[in-house]
Amino acid sequence: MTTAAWTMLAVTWAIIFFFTGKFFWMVLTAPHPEELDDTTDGILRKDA
Amino acid sequence: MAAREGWGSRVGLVLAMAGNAVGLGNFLRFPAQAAQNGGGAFLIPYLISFLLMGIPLLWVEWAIGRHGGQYGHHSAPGMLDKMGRSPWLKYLGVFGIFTNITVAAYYCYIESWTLAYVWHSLVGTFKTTGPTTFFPAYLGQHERSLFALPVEASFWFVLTLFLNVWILSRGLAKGIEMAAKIGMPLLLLFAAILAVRGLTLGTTATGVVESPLNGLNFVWNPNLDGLFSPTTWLAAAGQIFFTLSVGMGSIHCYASYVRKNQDIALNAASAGWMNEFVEVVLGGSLLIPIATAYLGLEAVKAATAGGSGFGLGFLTLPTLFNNWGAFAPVAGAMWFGLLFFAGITSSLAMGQPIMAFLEDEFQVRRPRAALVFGIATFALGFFTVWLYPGGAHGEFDYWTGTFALVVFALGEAFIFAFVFGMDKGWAEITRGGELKVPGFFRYVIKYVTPTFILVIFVGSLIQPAGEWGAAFGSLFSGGGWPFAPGSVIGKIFHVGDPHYVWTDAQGFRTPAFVQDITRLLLSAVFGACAFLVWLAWQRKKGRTS
Repeated sequence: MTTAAWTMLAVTWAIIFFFTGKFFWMVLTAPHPEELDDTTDGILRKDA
Repeated sequence: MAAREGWGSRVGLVLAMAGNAVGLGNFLRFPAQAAQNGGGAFLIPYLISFLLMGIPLLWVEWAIGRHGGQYGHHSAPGMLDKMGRSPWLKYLGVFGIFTNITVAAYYCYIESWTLAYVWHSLVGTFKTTGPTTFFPAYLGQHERSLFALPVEASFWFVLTLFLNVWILSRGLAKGIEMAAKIGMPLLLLFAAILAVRGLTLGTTATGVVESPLNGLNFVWNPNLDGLFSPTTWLAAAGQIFFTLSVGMGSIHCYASYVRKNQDIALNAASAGWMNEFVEVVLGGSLLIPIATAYLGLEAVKAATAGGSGFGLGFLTLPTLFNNWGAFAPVAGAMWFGLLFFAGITSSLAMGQPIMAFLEDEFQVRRPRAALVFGIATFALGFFTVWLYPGGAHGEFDYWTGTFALVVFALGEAFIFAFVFGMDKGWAEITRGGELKVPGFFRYVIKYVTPTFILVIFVGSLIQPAGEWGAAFGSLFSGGGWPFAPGSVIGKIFHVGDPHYVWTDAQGFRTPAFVQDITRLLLSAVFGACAFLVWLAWQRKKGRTS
């Protein structure tokens, strides 16, 4: 492996690990859907 | 009204969305594309395309889906109908039905190969039979024949369809979500084990001719000349586009089961980045390094010259695993097992929009809708099974799995930004968001993302044979535009097939015949989908009048 290849790999992997880990951690630690203050049934109007 | 379906958990939704995006291309196409288009330098346009086109398009599709779900629509025609006042908007949504049913037809066939290969790896078939002998026999290919009736491949295909229909019939939470919760962690585990085993192969190990790190170097060593080539940028943008499964209507469908005030900004970003992790970190560390270790770098370069690792994955790797001794059957089962999980989590996402369309617009119950999906996939799929040697499979892949996706994404991006309007669109994306979307994405979504897709569309339309610079040189010197045989225009006019006939001099049907009847079939299927949309709205009118 050349130094340039190692550098590209390290930088790209670091970016991907950071954002994948950060966002999935936020998903895991967010309140459970039932805990959210959502009083609607989710349907505004059904086309009859 | 029947109780509204929903996701059982947020993690399940994100895993199902990531599973939808993660497909065979993550492991077979990405590494070959990267290696052939500048190596590490490919990652620069690739990540820029991800930020300026991929992520914004994910947000757009999630927003269209959640918005449509509020009106009780879980498939593209109804969702797009609610984006504006024109009655024609719903007909763009026909693509969201058409692409899912036609891509599922040929995709489930490939998925069934992976299941068959798991079995044959475990029972040791590849110890005695080389995959280059096994594969044509498995597909029922014979010299000069355009038709095949493969008994074993048909069995695995039917079994795969049955699995898909069974999971889909169990519902969103108990079926699709459960499959994603089992499949995705196993996929990650199998890929990680194989990557560690492959990358740590010593040069003194049995059968190893070269360090696997030379293969990794082939994928990652930056050739900066590639950065100035339109071909590299188009390849990178195309890879981002197809790896995220945008332009299909499946993301819209899954997102339509998210409630009005629940987050989509973070969920979309998480699923998108998870796909990048699987593709770049795991996909880039498996196929080419392992193949390089046993075949040598030059052979791998030749095998991936077309930008696909398909041949390496199905024809070469099973034999190479034989060097791993007692671990060989397990390694083969893991490799094809992870491809199977990648495949089935994607094909389930193709089935759900079809079922949702039947349930919402024709009041078909879920088990029956799953059966209809299975029968339609069976009928269309067997067309590609029988005519695989003649090229029907490739035609399906090109027109439905590539071209139709770009057309749909281009249309939805413009409708979202300019018909629905960015004010409403931005509010839809950010409502309930647990991730603060930077404000500049508002302008990216309005101007940059549609432009990106337009460039991909025009690029695929007029892609030249050879380099773009040489093509413009030819055009300006009066030599005309040299359309590549693989461009849309080249395909339509059979460029590269100067002796275009349906029957050759010996009276045998030609591949051109198969190509043309496949295109006729696909046109008929599109027409049938459009008719169903028209019929559904006529029925609505009838009920309200």
